[in-house]
Amino acid sequence: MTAFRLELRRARSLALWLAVSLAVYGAIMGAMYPVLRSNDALMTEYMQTFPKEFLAAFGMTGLLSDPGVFFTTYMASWLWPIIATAAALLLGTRAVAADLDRGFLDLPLATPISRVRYLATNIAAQVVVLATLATTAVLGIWLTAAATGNVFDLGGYAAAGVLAFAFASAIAGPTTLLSVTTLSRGRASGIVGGIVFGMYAVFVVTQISKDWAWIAPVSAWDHFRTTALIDDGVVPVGDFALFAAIAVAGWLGALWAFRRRDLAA
Amino acid sequence: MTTPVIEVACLTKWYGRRRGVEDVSFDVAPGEAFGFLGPNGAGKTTTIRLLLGFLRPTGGSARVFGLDAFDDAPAIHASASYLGSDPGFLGELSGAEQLEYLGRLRGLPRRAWVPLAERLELDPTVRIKRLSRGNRQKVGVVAAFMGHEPLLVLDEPTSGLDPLMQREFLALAAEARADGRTLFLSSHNLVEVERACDRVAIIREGRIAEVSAVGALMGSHWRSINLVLGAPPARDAFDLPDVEVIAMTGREVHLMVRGDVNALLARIAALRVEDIAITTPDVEDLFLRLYRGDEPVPATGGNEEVPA
Repeated sequence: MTAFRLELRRARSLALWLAVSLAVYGAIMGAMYPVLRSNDALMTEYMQTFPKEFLAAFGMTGLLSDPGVFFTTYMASWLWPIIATAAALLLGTRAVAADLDRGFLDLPLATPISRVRYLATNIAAQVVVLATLATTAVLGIWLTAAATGNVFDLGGYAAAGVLAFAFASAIAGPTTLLSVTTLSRGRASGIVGGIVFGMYAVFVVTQISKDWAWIAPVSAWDHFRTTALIDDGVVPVGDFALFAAIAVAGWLGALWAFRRRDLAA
Repeated sequence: MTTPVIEVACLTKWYGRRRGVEDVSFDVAPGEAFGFLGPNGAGKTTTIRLLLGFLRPTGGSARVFGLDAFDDAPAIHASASYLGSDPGFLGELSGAEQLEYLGRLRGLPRRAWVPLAERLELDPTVRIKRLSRGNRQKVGVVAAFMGHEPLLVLDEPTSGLDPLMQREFLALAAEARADGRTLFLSSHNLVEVERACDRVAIIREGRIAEVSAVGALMGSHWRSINLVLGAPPARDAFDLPDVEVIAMTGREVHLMVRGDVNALLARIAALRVEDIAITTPDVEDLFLRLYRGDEPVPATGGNEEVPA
C-alpha cells in the first residue's frame, strides 16, 4: 500500500488539472445543451451546409440534440482522446523510464519490494487515475445538463464512461510496456503518440473517403462508438473487449518484461 | 573460513560496445569495511548496480549473502541498505515523507529516521526540491543508516557534504562497523576510504588495478610536504630513507615521503617551521604512479580475507 499511495500522490497534480479541464469544459458544454436543443432545426440546417463525411469525421452523425451525438461531438471525438492520450503517456512512461532517468527508480528497487509488485502498484495507480478522468468526462456533461433540466440516460452515459476508460487504458498499457522495454520515455511516448495520431488520421480519412473504409478497423476511433452506445443502447462488447485486451496485454507484458529487465539506460 | 558477504568473480558488463566493467573480482568478508576507489567513469557505479541487481552481468558472477545478485535481488535487498551518489529523491516530497516511504518499503517502524535526522540536523519538513545538494545527500545518509541491515552499500556517500557532515558520516560508518555490519564504500576520496575502510579495491577503466589493505596502500605511496622554514636548512637536513627532496629554495622546501613519516617529522620538529602543508595523493595521482610503473605493489595485497 505504501508504494501505491505514493504513486497516487505523485499522480494527484496531473489528475487534478486534467480532471478540472474536463469538468469545466463538460460543464460549459452541458450548459450549452438547452440552447442547441431549442435551436435544433436551425443547427440542422446549418450543418447541412457541410459535407456529411466531414461531419462524420467529428462524430456529428445525427442531430446535435441527440445525447449520444452531443457527447461524441463535444467530448469523445476530440477532448477525451487528447486528455486520455496525454494522461496515458505521462503515467505509462513514468512507471519505469522516467523514474530511471531521474534516478528515483533505484530507491524503491533497492528495497525488498519485488519489481513485479512495484510496477503493479504503478499500474494500479494508472487505472485509478484514468477511471477518475473518464468519470469526470462523463459526469461533467451529464450533471450540468441535468441541472438545466435535461436528464440524459445515465446508463448510456455510464457505459460511455466505461468505454472511454477502456480507450485510455488501451493507450496506457502499451505505453507502459514500451517504457519498460525501451527504458526511454521519449521513445515510448513518441511511438505510442505517433500511433494514436496515425489512427486518428486513418479515421478521418476513412470517414471522408469510402474507398479507404476497409482500413477503418485499425483505428481506435472506429471502436470508440459512443453515439450508438448512448442513443441506441448498442453495447459494443467487442470494442470494449478489444480495448481491454490491448490494455491488459500491455500491462502484463510490462510486468513480465520488467521482472528481469537489465536497467542499463 | 567465513563465507564472504560479497563475492564477485570475473564480473563483466558491457553497455553495447561501451565498456562498463571487465573481469572484476573481489570478496568482502562479514563485518569488513571495503573501499572501492576509482576516478569518475572507472566503473564504480556499474559494479554497485550489478551488486544490487539493477543490471544483468554480461559475464562472470556477483553474489551477495550467497545469493545471485540479479536473480535474488529482493531477498538481498532485505539485508542491504543502499545510498546512491546522487539519489533521485522526489522533489515534491519533504525529507520526512521520502524517508518514511523508504522506511515503510524496507519494513522499518514508523519514524525510524527521526533520531538520525536530528543527529545530522536535517530539517525534515522542507521539500526535497528546496534542499541544497548537501542537504539532499544528508537525506540519503539518513536513509542508508536508519535501518539495521547487515550490509551497507554506499556509492560516493559524502559527495556534497560539508566537512562537518563528512566527519559525522565517518562516525556513522564506524558505529555501523562496531555493530558488525559490512560496508561497501565507493569513493574517489582516498582520505575517506583510508579512514573508513580495512581494504580497498582500486578500479581503473573498468578493471581492478589492485586490491590491498588500506594501510599498505597508503603506506606505499608518496606524500608531498611543502615547508616554509625560519631559515634555510642544511643541505643534508632531510637525508633520510624514503625521503626525496624535490626542491629547496632558500627557506622553502618541497619534499616527498613514503611509508613511516616519524623520522622526517622528528627532523622537521628540530627546525623552526613557519608553515607546513602535507598533501595525500589524490586518486588520479595514485593511478599515475601505479601505471607509470615506479610504484611497488604493496606487500599486503591480493584478495585475502580480513578477519571480522
